[in-house]
Amino acid sequence: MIKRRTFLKVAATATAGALAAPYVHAESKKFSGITLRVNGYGGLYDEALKKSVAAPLEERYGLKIQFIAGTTSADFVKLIANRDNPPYDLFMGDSPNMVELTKAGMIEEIRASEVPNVKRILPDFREFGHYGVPFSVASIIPVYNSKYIKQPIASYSDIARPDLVGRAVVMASATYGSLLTLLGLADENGGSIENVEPAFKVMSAAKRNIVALAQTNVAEIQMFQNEEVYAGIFWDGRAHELRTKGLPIVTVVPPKGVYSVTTYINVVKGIKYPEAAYAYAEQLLSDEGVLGVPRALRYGVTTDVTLPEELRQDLLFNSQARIALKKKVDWEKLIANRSAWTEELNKIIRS
Amino acid sequence: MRVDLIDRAMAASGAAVRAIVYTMLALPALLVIVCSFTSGDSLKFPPTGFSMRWYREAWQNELFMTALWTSTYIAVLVSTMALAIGFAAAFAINRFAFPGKGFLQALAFSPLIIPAVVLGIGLLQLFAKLNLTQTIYPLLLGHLVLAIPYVMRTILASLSLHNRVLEEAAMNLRASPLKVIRRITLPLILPGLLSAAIFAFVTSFGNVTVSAFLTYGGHVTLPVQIFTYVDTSYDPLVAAVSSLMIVITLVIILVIERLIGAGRVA
Amino acid sequence: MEEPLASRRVLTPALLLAPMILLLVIFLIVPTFGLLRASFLSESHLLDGSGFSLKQYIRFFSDSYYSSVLFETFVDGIIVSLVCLAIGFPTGYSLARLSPLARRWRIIIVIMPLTLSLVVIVFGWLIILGRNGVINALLLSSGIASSPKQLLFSRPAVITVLVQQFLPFMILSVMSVVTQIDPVLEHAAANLRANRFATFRKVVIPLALPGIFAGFNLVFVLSISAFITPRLIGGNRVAMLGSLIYERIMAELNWPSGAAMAFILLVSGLGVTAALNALAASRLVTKGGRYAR
Repeated sequence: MIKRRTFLKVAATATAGALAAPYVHAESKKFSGITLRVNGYGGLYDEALKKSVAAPLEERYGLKIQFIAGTTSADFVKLIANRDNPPYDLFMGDSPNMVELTKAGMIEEIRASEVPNVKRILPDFREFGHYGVPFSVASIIPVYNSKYIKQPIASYSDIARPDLVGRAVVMASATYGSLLTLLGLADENGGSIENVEPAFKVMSAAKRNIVALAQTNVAEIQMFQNEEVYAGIFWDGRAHELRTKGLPIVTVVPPKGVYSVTTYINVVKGIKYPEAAYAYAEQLLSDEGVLGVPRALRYGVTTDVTLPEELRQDLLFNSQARIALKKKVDWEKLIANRSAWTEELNKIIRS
Repeated sequence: MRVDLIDRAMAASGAAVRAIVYTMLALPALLVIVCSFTSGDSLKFPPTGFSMRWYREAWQNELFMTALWTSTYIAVLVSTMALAIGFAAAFAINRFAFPGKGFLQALAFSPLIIPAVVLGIGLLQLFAKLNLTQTIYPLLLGHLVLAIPYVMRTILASLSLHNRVLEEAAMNLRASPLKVIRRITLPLILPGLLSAAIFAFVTSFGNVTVSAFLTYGGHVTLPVQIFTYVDTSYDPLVAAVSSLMIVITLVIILVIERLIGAGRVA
Repeated sequence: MEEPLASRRVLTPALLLAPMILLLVIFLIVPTFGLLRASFLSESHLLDGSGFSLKQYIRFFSDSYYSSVLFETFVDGIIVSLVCLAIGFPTGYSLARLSPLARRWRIIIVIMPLTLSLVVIVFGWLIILGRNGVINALLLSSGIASSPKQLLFSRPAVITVLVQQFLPFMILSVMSVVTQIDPVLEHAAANLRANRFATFRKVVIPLALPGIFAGFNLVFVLSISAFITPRLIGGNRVAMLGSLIYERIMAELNWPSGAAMAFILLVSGLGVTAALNALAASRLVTKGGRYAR
């Protein structure tokens, strides 16, 4: 229903715009005639951004935003391969992607002089200096179905609890969901990013529990929905999605700290209309823009925006105390270790 | 007596195998079609209620509809071109004597065994060097490469089976080679050509792994669109769009059948 | 008469083959060699590639994990191809012998799965194989099982789905050759009081061999390079090299390593295909040849 209404609204705005444009708005809309290309995350995520960021920009400036469907990794490869003729003007990427993006030298630094709302970003939510504008944060946390699991799960390490035999799921080995899970496990068991051995020990112990590694978020959603699994480690927004589908899914806040990725928007180097791209970033960080994704998917925010009550209840990072639990991650090191960790985890899990 | 018994056993086991095969092939698709008519918000079986709601949504979804059109016309172009290129090459390999045939067949077969991801990235690099990434050519040529093995295999198998006596007789009657091909060879291997065309169409229409690297701005194919959509959301819209894909394939098959000669094939 | 034919023998095939060769050389061989080069890079990263090293290959062969995955991938590929052959041949054969009208809708059932996005097919299979799925419901209601069985995320599940996915290739390959075998031959055999089994073995199978080989090879190479099915249905518990390659390249962005693994799969896959074909050809052709001629 929401989507259809959005569609009608967008269609109506577009029609009205098309009719009115030649007469009135031709001069007042400073970005009219410009279309910015963004790599989409697909589905509801893009819908949310269209509604909260793209639609207002079009209304105000005549700026058009095109979300191009693709997987982030394939999009990144396309971006790298087309250095001289970038296929995107704006590039969305999560913290781990940012390491590659900055290393590839393909994105502009963004300062408050260009995007004033950058000043509103919470401390520690901008992990790469002046690179990238963070607008959303997703956390990987333990979740369980309270209909079947009576003894609450309290930490990442509980994934190895003996009562979960054949009933648990974690993210696939190469995803950063799984890399962060390893960090969480290491942390809880005396390890660290330098020493993830303790995490592998827990994984070995949990092997009997783990039915499968979920290759995609949707795969994990389905596993919970079909009651293939009762417990797992998953994204906070997805846990909320499961609840909206009527499942009694409980989100656990691990007491020793929460591991999260931040999603950034980047302005690609060498594009034609950087001003328009900055306007996108500015709108994304405004109250209206930054609440778009949380409203649709209940992922966290990155600015000092005041959360509306219904969001405050649902979001993981809804107070100073909660935000203090957010662990800092050395992404560079994580990327450097990714291959070795993935290999190790694959070996452990393979039956 | 013994003959009878064996015949009956074979007939019975054949029927059983066929029943299993058709069920197995049709079931996943049928479940998806059934689920696409749900009136509920989530994709599950059995569906809740009946409605056309998700088809309306699909119809109104500009992204999916554009992608559907892109996929269809690329697939039609690819199958036409693949058929022409593949038939020419298969005919040469089968009907002429020259060295290196084994190598050529291996070449034609090789796109299959190169992992799609590798081919996708390799093509992306190549087209980036040629500065053609933001055109339709990468998709078109990439799919063409993928379709060649199916087309070649099918046509070669057909050609190697059918009797050359007719062709030689026609040649002896001084019919021009083109005429022989048109009047004798092509009609004889029609079933093979039909399967080849369908293989090519389906290969292009359904491909995700290579396409994911070759799509650009306005030209995203439907499977890529579905793949990314499904990455974040899984609602009956996907089932509705998939069912539309089935319908389009049906139409295309029937059209190909008509073009090549109704009743003769499929 | 002799002269034009002779010149045609050189020029015509060259012209006929040119489009295919050009297409494949430019858009397959060239990009593939670009990646072959990448597999010898010394850095494990796509951005800073230079130098020459065998590091990636050494990493693969020095760890028995990878060779065992490679071996399992081939075993799975052979199982899938054999199952496809066993159930696809009778189906393809019967299709070929049906009237066009009766054939049409069956063919459509055969082709339909090919057009569906794999992600969607996998959804169908989750419904069938899931804990609350169709099969478990049947098992429970018939009393064969007392509690739902874990059917997904196992090797048999992966093989089943691969079979379903690639079966159409086998059926269509077989069908397209069998339609061209003159039924008169079979009637003749039957008149000589050969039973159906004997007719099959001595007449149909030898004549259908090109289609059988085509189908078998297709299914085999498709199965060994599959990665979406092992990932989604196998849930990483079932390792196949294709999914490791995909992971290396797409998730880790480690192209050299992914490329090296891809080339190992490529070369060994071609080797296994050739060996299987040689084996099958020597067995079947000599056996069937006697009767077919």
